[in-house]
Amino acid sequence: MNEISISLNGQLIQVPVSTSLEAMLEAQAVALDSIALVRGGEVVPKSTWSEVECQADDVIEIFGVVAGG
Amino acid sequence: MALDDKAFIQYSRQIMLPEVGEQGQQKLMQASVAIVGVGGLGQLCAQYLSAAGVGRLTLIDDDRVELSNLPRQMLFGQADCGQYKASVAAGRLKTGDCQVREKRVRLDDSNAQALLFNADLVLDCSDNFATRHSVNRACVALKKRHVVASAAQFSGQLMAFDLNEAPQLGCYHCLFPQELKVSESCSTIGVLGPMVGCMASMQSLLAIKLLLGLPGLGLLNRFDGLTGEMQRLKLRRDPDCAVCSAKETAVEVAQETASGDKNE
Ligand SMILES: [Zn+2]
Repeated sequence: MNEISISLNGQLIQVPVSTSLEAMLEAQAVALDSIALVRGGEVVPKSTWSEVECQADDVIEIFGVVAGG
Repeated sequence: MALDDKAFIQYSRQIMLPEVGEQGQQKLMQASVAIVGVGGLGQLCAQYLSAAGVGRLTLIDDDRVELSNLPRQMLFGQADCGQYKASVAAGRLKTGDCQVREKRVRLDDSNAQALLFNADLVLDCSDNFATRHSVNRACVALKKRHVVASAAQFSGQLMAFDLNEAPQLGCYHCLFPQELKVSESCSTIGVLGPMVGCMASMQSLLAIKLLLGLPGLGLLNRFDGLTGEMQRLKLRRDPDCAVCSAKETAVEVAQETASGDKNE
């Protein structure tokens, strides 16, 4: 199977080509209901994670909301 | 309306900035800003904005000063414990040129639009996710400019939204939908005073820039207080956002989606 390499929070991981962001996060055991996602320095709205596919060399970061003040 | 001599001297260090000038100072003096939450973030923003000569502030908070607030809420002292934060802060800041109104209520969906209706700019300085969403819903409904800051442990976030000038950035719900799980708040998770102060200072600076008409929209700033790193990330509207992408804005969204998404 063809795989591509992407960076998730600074760690290189391998995913099959045509993997959606959502499938990638699930494979990494990330809790989808507690994070925002940025790809290449730009926010990717959560409602599109199931459609948007990982691309080779994507730099992806995930983080939670900070609500305190 | 020209500045009088006293105002000219008092605000001279601001006025000498080409980005401010006498005109900018007048803009500040005519501005009305609502501050939601007068805790670590809000008490400092209120001080900076009133000291900068902002004309009117509305301080919204139903909390009372507690001893454990003092390391990060330096507008308050031990003698203020048990008093309403909005009242203590208003009392301290009223002495200047700024008109300060206190609203000793908890902002929620039932009162948010009435509380924020007269503001030129809204600062979200609240300490919990539910209030942040109420502020956002009201700002979307009223099309108010809206600066959001937050801090917990060594993480800080800062961003601004303006559906009039920058609809493509969306709203707070586009970034952090209300279904998101969040457990932390300052009352349950540790934080250092200067960490909250950093975020409040950046929030105040961004607020003043927006009041002056300077650029400041478009980015989510993430500050890591341990490493000192600041990340600047581009915001993006969620075309399916339940809050800001309702029917009346469907045309705008369709246009943005057509011009934005297709080249990926
Ligand atoms: Zn939205």
